[in-house]
Amino acid sequence: MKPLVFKCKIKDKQRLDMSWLSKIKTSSLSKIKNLRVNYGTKGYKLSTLFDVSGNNFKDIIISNSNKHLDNIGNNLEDKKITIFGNVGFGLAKGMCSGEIILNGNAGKNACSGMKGGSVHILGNADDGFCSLPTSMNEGLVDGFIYVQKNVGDNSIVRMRRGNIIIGGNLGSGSCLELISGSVVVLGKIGNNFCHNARRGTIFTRDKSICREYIRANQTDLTFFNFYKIKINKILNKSIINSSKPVRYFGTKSGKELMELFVI
Amino acid sequence: MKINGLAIENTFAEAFNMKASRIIVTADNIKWAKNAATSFTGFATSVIACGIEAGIERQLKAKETPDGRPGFAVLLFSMSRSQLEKQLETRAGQCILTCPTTALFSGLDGEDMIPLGKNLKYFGDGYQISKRIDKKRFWRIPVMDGEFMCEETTARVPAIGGGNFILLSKNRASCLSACEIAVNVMSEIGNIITPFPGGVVRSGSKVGSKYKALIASTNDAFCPSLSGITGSKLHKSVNCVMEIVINGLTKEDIDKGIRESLIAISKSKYKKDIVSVSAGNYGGKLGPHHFHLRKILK
Repeated sequence: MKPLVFKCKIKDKQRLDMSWLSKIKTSSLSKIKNLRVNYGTKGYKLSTLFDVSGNNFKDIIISNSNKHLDNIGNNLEDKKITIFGNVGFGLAKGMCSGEIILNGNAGKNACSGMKGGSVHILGNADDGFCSLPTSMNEGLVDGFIYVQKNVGDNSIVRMRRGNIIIGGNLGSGSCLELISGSVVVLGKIGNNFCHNARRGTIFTRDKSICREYIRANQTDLTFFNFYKIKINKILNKSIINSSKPVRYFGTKSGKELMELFVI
Repeated sequence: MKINGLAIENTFAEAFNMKASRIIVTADNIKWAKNAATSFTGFATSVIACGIEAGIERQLKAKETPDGRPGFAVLLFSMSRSQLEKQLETRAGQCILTCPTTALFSGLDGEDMIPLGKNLKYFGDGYQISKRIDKKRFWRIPVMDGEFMCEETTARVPAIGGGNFILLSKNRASCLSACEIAVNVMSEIGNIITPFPGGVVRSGSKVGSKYKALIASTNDAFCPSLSGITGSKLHKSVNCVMEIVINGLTKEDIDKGIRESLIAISKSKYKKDIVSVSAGNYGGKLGPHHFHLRKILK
């Protein structure tokens, strides 16, 4: 079976809501081509906006994508979406399961309210990454997210669980009210990091944020090696190299049980 | 039928449906992983009185384990889900949680999950930390040497218990040596264990007893010391009988265990003292799985 390929033909600067992509249930290519989609002030057949081909409706490829395509992978369940090019806001918003691989940059509020599945962003993610959707109390409920480059400001709000790996820098005001979960940041971290956080585990190389945390006894922890092996295996490359991390546990200002590994 | 001169009787072993699970025990070095695994599998020879039958399946290299440390794969077998759950938690709590540097992981994936560290986490008294990675939940429980890490659940799968064969020998030394060869061969085969001490049983049993309180008693038909006064099944030249009981995840695994170990015995110097190879059954009415020795060796 060949993946279902959507080649974007849009050249105008109007935005296109791609939420319909996650809802495709039909098994006929002609039905997909005839789907009605609102674009600008009019409704169009999908075939006028995209060249559509392929027959595997669980494996979708979007080629020639651009920053005007919003809400790709919205509430996605059990599908794989591979995107070539940039995307607009709301990538993987409320995603439940499946996989998204983005070969480009993601717009604002990517992975907001995500509940499961895995997202690989092989570029940058704009502000509000893993932010709090209006209808939810938690920003990231579960899932695995890898961002190869930088992440913008005000990202990762009220994260409940899951794993976020950031290969570049993380903007200011991030990890606000962190509840739990694990965040790996290989680059620099912006100001006001982990404000009002309760629990959670941070792996970082940026020593500047350590002064607010209590340095713990340097006991051998099985978890660190286990996590290192797991993450390196999932991403098939060496993300965490350190064998003797410096561990901080708890904050100087309160009773929070935040854990910090300087790797 | 003879294999390399080793006589195989025309009989079969009778085995039963069981529930099984696999765990992986790791530690800083193989010595401490073995301490934990042997402690965990202690007093787990027969479901008749131990609750479960358990044994070390094989040693794992550091690169084969989830945390990159050496360890052991352990298989557990039970007749019921509740007994398997109870024994797994009790033994994990007393034998692995307590053992320095160890960690505990599931060794099976499946639909039917049973608790592994799900209740052990409460030992952390609120300081336990949950981590969910790759759709699996792990618990980090603070202990005096650092932390005990364990997976929340492991899978339970259908399995077979009670596959066996019996060596009838002219003397005890050769019988024991032949058994050791068989157990060594089976320790290299995955998905099976030999739950008895050293993998060998010398007290084969029959169903029932002259004493009403007992459900099983000595298999007098195979006791050389009773030949002549009971309905003995032993030839006059047989002076020692030992049995190897095999539990496995599938019939094919047990077949392989029986076949390879009997071939190994037939190639050893001890075969000259082995009068024949038999198997234990109850007439074929109790267990749904029959391991016909001659069919397996064909």
